[in-house]
Amino acid sequence: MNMSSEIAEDLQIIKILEKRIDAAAAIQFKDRVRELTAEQVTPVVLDLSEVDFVDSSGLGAIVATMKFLGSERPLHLAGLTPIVAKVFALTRMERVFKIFQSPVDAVKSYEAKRA
Amino acid sequence: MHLVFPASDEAVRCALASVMHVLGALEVDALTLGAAEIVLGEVANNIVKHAYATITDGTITLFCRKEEDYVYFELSDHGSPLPGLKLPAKQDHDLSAELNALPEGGFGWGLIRDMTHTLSYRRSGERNLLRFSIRAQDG
Repeated sequence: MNMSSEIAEDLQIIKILEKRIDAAAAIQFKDRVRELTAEQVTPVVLDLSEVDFVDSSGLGAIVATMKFLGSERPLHLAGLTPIVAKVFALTRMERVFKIFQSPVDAVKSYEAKRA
Repeated sequence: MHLVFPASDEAVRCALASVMHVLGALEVDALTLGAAEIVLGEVANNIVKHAYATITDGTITLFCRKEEDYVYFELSDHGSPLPGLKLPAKQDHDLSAELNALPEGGFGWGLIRDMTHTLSYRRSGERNLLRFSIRAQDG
């Protein structure tokens, strides 16, 4: 599964470069995020702005990733497209994650916290 | 439209793409398409994962039609029946639980129930028959 990773303001921003996190992709998603986060210790922002479909398996994979990272290393979300936002709202999982409009907003929020 | 496809994650993905392509051509709006894709995906994935849990060469038959503001779907399979021969309820998760106790599954039927206008299930002989409709979103 294609993803890019960069570090900004003590945040690791992982952008998902795929349209779907679904049942067929859930395991690859988990494995790839694990690989990408293995070398880092910062909180993680998942940039979902390219993703237009997350089903319950994809949602489960995102929650599993949050658990894997642990409470010392929060997982935030950014750039939810309309249907993805709807899935997070209907399942109430939007309350579990901190959701930013964009990765830039996440970085700003962390900058503000440090200042 | 009418489709018969193998019960696998990859085939479900292809079937969804075909259905969305056709519904898009029928000028169904993006939000309705999105809802239809989520529900159809959840229903089909449930068939792959549960109804055909012990069967490797199962197939799923899908009918879909658009009529005025509604899109109607019918999915059938020859797998095992839904538990208790009825539609599962929406699971109410405890989201105040600590991190490690958060749910990683059990979202599917809630999404199906929330996003459908009508939803019904019946077991007919050796066949599961699930029907649902999605109403076009307003605006």
